[in-house]
Amino acid sequence: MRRARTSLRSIGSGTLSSALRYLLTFAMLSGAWVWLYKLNAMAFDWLAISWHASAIFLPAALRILYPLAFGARGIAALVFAGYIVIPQYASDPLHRLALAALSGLAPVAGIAASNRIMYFSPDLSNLTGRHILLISTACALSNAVFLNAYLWLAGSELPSFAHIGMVFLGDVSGAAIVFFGLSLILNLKIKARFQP
Amino acid sequence: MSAKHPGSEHIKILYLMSALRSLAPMRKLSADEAWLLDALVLRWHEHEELTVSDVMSSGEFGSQTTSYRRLISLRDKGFINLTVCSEDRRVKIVEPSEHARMYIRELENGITSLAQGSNKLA
Repeated sequence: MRRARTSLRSIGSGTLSSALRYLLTFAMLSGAWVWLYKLNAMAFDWLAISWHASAIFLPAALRILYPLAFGARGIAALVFAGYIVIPQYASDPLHRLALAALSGLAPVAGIAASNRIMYFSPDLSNLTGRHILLISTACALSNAVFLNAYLWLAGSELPSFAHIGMVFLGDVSGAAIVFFGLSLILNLKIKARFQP
Repeated sequence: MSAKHPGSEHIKILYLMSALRSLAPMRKLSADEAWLLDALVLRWHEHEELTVSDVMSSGEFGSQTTSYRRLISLRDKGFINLTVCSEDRRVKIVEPSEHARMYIRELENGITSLAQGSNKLA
């Protein structure tokens, strides 16, 4: 009996810590996205032509990293974080939810398409820099197309190519800035370790 | 390791970081640097103690200035260490770094698996 109680307790505490770890990661991922969104708004607001189209959009990099590294949890964090930042631009909750869902799900289409063009394994063991570039482009394209298509279906004017192009450019340039920045930091960190 | 294994996210992040690191051009060796590194690998394999002066005066790797510049570039990219000789502090010895040892091991593993593959085919 005592052994059963102990094992139940250990299962309970294991499940609890696993759930806490899940929630903590989820919160950190969402928080990072919101922080980067606000940083982008502060730094590059002058490059925006509308609230969802800017020449540089840094959080686009996280739209790629989160689904790749964290799967469903990453996508959920994107949707949640998108829902948090959107309110200032859309008062209708259903509209906000739809936009947030697009923010999280459009990259999934981009990643799936990239996988068809240039296969990478589910555990990312054969992922290269070229894959990252391809995925960035595909996700930017899927986001630009799906977002503008939704806005048009939701009652906005027919999106111009300039507007679609700006969303695409913003995602590509934002992801490029973040990825090359991370690449430099990682390389300098390795270099520092090897200095005699 | 299944996709639901808790360690798999960690592994994915490591692979992602490796792919991101390869984006920056600074890791890549130029063809001349790669050639110099291969020549150094051969000398180390023969257990020869190699000094910076030996490399510069060999003439195989361009002028003295060019050879020195390539050695420094290999050092900056983490492939070699230049250690001061204990007997003569003016002399610097060219030694492989951990990075170079990994590179040599990768080469050995690659050649071994190639040989095994060709044996199976035969």
